Amino acid sequence: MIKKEPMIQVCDLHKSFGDHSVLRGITTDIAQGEVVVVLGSSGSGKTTFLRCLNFLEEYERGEVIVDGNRMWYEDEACTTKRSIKKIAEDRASIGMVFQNFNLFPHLTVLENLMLAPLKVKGSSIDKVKLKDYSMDLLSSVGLEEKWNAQPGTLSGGQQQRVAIARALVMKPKIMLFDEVTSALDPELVGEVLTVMAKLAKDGMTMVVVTHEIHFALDVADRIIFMDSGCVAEEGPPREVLLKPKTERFQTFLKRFAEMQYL
Amino acid sequence: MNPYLRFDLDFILRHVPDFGPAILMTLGVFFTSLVAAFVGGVLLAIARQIRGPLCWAATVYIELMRNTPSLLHLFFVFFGLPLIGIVWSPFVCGVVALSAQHAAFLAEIIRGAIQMLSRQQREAGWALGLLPGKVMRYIILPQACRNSIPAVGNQSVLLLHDTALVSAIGIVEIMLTARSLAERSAASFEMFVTIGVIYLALSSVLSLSTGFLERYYAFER
Repeated sequence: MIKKEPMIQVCDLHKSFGDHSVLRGITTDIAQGEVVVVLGSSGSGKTTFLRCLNFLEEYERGEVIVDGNRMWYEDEACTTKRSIKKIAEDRASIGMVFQNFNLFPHLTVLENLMLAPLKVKGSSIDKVKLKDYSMDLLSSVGLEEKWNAQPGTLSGGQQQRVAIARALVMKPKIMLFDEVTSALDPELVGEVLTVMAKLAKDGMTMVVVTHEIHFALDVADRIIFMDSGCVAEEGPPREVLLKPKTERFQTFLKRFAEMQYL
Repeated sequence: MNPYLRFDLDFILRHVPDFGPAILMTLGVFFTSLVAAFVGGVLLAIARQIRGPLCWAATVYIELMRNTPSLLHLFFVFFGLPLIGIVWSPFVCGVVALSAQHAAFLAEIIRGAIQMLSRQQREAGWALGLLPGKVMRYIILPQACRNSIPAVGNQSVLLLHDTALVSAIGIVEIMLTARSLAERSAASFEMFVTIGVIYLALSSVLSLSTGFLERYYAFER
């Protein structure tokens, strides 16, 4: 098998908030079509790591290279910072879904989907085609009949599925998921995970920060366990989840094991 | 009862036609100032979001305008500026002076509404690949403006009442009409009750339309 250039390269990523260092040298490659689930207790830096991948969080040292593009600096010598315009261009090809959905409440569901393509790609875009494509995406997340609804009238699970469709309408090469089921009522988690599993099956490159251990086990190609800003363990889900090596990961997983016997 | 104090309803009715043009003039000053103040307020509020000299300039301007009286601005524009060769008609002077201060008030209202919106709304826009300017224009400002409708409505009632100040530079609006009629007769009491009713009616219409706009632009959260 020919080894392809990785979709995301992360080299020695460092980030701190004031004195508190959150990321302390993360290095990893994510291949095209790979689904990586990032686990870790709160404060381990997993969300910050995810936010660095599309430069929502600026980092101090290291570099993220997405599909061959360096995010922060133009060149390897780190002399010229990239312009906000170029960063925005890269962000357009990286979809992100947030814990709190962050739909635009003043727009309808369909307008939420169509805003970014219209304003990023400008007047050259075919509006009719865009509308059809948006409706297709809405039906793929099972919400085509809600196209004219206001986001605030939808349930959390529905809002999150709209948010996924909104990210997909930009035809991203990568999707980032930041604890997307954490703000949902338990009975609504399933519908969102189903959409994500389908996306993974269709070959999307995904980085998923989550506490849904079953999703990790069933859908992930690789699991990264983060502990105090470092990658503590990494590997295929069955290997890593069933035979955790570090004590921290064992303690972390114990919680889930106990829950099984409730 | 004091025999000199009697309420002369006839006098009011006789002079009702005089108030037609006066009301139009008041509304003219009011709407022109409101539009100018709103545009200025939005621009000032945006300037305060951008780090740099523009933000500083906007801050200084807002503080200067908020902390000095409207009447002073009016006299400054009407009597002061001609000394350096800037001569405007009373109408223009009135609109400039009123909108200069109310732009500062509105800027603070809109800035508050912008900051009330969570950072997450911005991040959602950035993550989609929108540039900061477009995030402001299509995501933040539309929400901030809607959220600030009640406060802007309130401010516009204050602006309507401030239009009485322009009578001081000879614009024949409601206040000046009432004052000159009162001086020509002994009917001060009647005149001031009359314009009290007129201002009350105009303000009520304004409040009602604010409520209408609020409901029209409401969205579920």
